[in-house]
Amino acid sequence: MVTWRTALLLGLAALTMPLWAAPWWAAAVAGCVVLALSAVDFVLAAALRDLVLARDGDSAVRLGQSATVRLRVRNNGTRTLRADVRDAWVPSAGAVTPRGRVEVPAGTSVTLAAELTPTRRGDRPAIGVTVRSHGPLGLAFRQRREHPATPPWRLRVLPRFTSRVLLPEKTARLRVLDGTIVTRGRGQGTEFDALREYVIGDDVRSIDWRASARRSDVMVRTWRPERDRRVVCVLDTGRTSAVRIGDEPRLDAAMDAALLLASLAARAGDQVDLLAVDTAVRASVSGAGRQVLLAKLVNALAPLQPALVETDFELVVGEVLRRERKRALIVLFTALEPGALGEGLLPVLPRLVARHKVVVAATHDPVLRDLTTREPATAADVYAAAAGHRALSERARVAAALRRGGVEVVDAPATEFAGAVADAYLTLKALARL
Amino acid sequence: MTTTTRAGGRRAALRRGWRRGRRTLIPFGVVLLLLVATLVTRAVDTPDTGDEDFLSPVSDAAIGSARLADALRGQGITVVRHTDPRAALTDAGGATLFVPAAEFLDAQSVNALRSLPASTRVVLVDPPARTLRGADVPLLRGQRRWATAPVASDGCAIPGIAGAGAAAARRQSYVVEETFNGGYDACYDRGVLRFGYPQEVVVVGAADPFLNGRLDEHANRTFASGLLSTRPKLVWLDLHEPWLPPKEPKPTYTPDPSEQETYEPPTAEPQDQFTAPPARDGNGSPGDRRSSGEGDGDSASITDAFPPWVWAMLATLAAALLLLLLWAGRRLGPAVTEPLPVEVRSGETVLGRGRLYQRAKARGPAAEVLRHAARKRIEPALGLDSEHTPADVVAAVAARTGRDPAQVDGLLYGRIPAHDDELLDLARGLHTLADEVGGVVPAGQSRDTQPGSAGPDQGEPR
Repeated sequence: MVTWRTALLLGLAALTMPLWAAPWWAAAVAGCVVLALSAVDFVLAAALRDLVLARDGDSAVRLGQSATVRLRVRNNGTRTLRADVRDAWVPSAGAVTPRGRVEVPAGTSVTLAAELTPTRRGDRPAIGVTVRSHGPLGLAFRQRREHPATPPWRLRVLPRFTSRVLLPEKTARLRVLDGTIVTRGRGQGTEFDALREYVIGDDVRSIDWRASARRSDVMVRTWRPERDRRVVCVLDTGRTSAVRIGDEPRLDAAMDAALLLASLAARAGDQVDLLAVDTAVRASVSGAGRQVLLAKLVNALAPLQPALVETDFELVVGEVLRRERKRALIVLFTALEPGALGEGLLPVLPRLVARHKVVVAATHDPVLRDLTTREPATAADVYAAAAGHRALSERARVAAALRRGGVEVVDAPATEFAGAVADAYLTLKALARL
Repeated sequence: MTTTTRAGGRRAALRRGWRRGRRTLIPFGVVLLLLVATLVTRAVDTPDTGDEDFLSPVSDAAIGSARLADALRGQGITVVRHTDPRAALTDAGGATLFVPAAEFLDAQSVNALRSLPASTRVVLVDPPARTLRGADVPLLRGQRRWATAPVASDGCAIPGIAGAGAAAARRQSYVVEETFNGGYDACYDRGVLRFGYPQEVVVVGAADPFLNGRLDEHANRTFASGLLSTRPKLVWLDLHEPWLPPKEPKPTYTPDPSEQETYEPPTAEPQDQFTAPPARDGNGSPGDRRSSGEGDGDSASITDAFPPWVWAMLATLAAALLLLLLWAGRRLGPAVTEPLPVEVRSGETVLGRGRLYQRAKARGPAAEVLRHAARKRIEPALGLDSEHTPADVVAAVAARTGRDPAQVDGLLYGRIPAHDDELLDLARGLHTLADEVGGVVPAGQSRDTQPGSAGPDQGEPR
């Protein structure tokens, strides 16, 4: 293929036409000369089949941060490569790739670094590399689809996990429960920890009289919160999770909360499992060790996307019962919607509650609160407010029905959601109701 | 972490795409090929009237007519070939004048056809509308076939070809002008027409019967020789390019109509000599206009208006532009596509339901919902017990805010608003009332993180 230079050359030749005695012959000769020059240039361009592409760099990045993926172009041919290289990524990968001519002498290689700032969670693939190899005169170039072949790459964009900042505070509260900072008190745990001598200030009710008799000293029993309990985060990825709460889908808020809960529970010594379900199991993590838990969870959650299907709660309950034989805390991240929960979850809930402790965690829709508390300006606002009140009362009814069924309900706006879920967990832990 | 290239899957996908493309391309390609082949064959096959051999009595080529001329000579007819229309016209008195390419005749020669002696037969092959009008033949060109077809003679009464049988004589068919009320003969599905003037004029709608290559098909030979052998002498006007009259009599650039009349009898309308008629039947071939222009001999073509280097430069610049477009059209890799995630706006169902209320003018239910919500907000603030009547609420609110009880009652328990403005007033009134009472947002709207009731059994360790 020719470049603009060839066209320019031919155009310049056209301007000399008045100078020739036989203009038509001159035109023909000019055309032939220009095309011959282009052909020579084309032949002298570096061959595409001698190029080898390879990639290395980051394979995962947290949403909001930048990653670098390098593309190495190696020229195994005998001629210098002068090329335009386009490294195409999907638009949501936010790739900034170096543009312009690269020059690769024969037998050497060059590295082109792409700076990626993804705008969305999930897997962001590299689409294709196109190499346009120019001849030394810049008159012609070689370019062919898939020559050289594109090395595949996939950048996994992990959830933002903004609620990380809450982790120190929640962990501090956990330590309070644990008794490592303040004296453990009655009610702060249910697992027998140790016997020690009574000191003034201890609750006299925790004196162990039998032990005191044996040791001829007043002994008290100490307690600590239960350890090695099981926590299962169940994410509903059905249609209700696609609703935008503020700027991001409800699913992302649920992920954030689940990650905080998992980190906290792991520090508290509990085993954390994860399940993402709509009409099928989309992701599951179970039996992960404490050290790798967070990485595993984040990896499993990253590619999840809301699906426009009705969640099959029958499947949810069946999966949980199948996986968790021992009593566990089931935290179900979903939406308090009468249609989805009333017809899907409530009928199957008793089976779950009979074996496990269940918490339903749902984010608020800020639009609802805004609708119902703002002073209406037009008649349309009034009707919308009425609809909002109806939705709120329906949600309250669903929450009441769930509570009647022995389920804890956490209903919080998206900004406080993760903290609220963690608090619920801590409260349950403190009350030894796991 | 490094991956090396492996594009087998991608190549397979490409091949699949190509195969899918081929499935749709093949039928279109076949049709296109057939069309092109047909058009090219036809273009090659159609005789060109400008060809040196076309219907020439001295040419043995497939499109010549030497065989017909020989056959006529064999019948004892004198065949005289002329290349100058003036000479042919003066020689044609009492003979058959055969004009195979009438579009190359100049206007004066066409006019002169009318003044030939009465015993003359003029045979015109596929004449253009201009010639028909110039020779005063009351014919309009009708339907033109894409190719010549053999037609049965069906009781033809034209002398010479009566009973000749089917011949390929119709490509162009003709329509007689409605204003004409004289006698004429039409044969071969209006492909051949004869007018008995003082002189006889026969118009043939196709050249095929006279060609060497076609002479033996159907009854072409009988047709052609019959048509041309009614007079003992045949004057064959062998023209292959527009004929230009000698230039010497032109005194000025603009031809003067009165001066032109000196050449020919005064029956001619002067305008006809210079202007090609604006295609009355809409079917005149482009050759008409060009030949009429060249017949006048003075209008230069646009190619002569500029020196050749201008055209060479334009052609080269066009080629350069084409290269530029080719370069600009080659993109650096295909456009990248990406599936977008589903996006459901928050509060979509609620807002939609609100619009439904509005469309259904559901003022009653809307007002009831708003009043209920306002009461729920007010009642806890008033500290009323669970067993209260509307009257209690109204009294308590009136006491708290100092409002008129009747008005409070109208707001909280009043009638259904009659129109939207009233509903809006009610909603605003409830809003301010609740603010005045200082109601709190009910529990359903606030965050509820307290997990359930802390039961009395909470503290007992196991």
